Amino acid sequence: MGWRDMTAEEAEEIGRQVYQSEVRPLLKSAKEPVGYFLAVDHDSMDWELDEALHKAARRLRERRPDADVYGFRVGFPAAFESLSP
Amino acid sequence: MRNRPVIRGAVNLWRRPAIDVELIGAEGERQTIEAQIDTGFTGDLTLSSFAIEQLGFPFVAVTSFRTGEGSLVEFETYEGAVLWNGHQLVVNVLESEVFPLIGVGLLWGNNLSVDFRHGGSVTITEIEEDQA
Repeated sequence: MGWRDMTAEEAEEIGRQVYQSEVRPLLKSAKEPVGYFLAVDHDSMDWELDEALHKAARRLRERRPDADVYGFRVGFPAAFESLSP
Repeated sequence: MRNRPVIRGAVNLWRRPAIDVELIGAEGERQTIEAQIDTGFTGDLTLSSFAIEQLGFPFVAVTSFRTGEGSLVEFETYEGAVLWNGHQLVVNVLESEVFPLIGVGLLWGNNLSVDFRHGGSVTITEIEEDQA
């Protein structure tokens, strides 16, 4: 089982839960890091937060070389969006 | 006043502003592709799986992408490098088989000017720091 076995909606819901319960309590600032990327490993739910997605994912893989990484974006419904249908 | 670098392109047959972008592969090799500018797209760049593989861009993460109708789809995201205004930038590359797109992520901090007519001029210039 991994991120690819679930829908994007299911993955986004898990991303929101990880952010609220694990990441948010550790942030010193009262301001939400809107636009930052949260990289989350599927099996361990270990995570990294960074302005750049590749940096968050790289730090996560330094600890967990086999990480199955999903990239979430804080404050957004999806990491990327388009206005076109 | 220093001369700021200018990226130039043209409005193509499909009435979309397009520019040539220089990509830098994992081994340092250069490849120029034509990309259309899409200011509705919040990411940096989309490329075909063939181009991503050719350039050796490493896989970063699975990500969600929300379309204009509100549905979420999953996209594979890669770490790419482009030459932009004379700087080498690391960008998020989404794998998509349609025409390469440049989004707001890569345009951020720049001014975009387009003459919307066939062959119309497209210019992208860095916004001076005190205005950015």
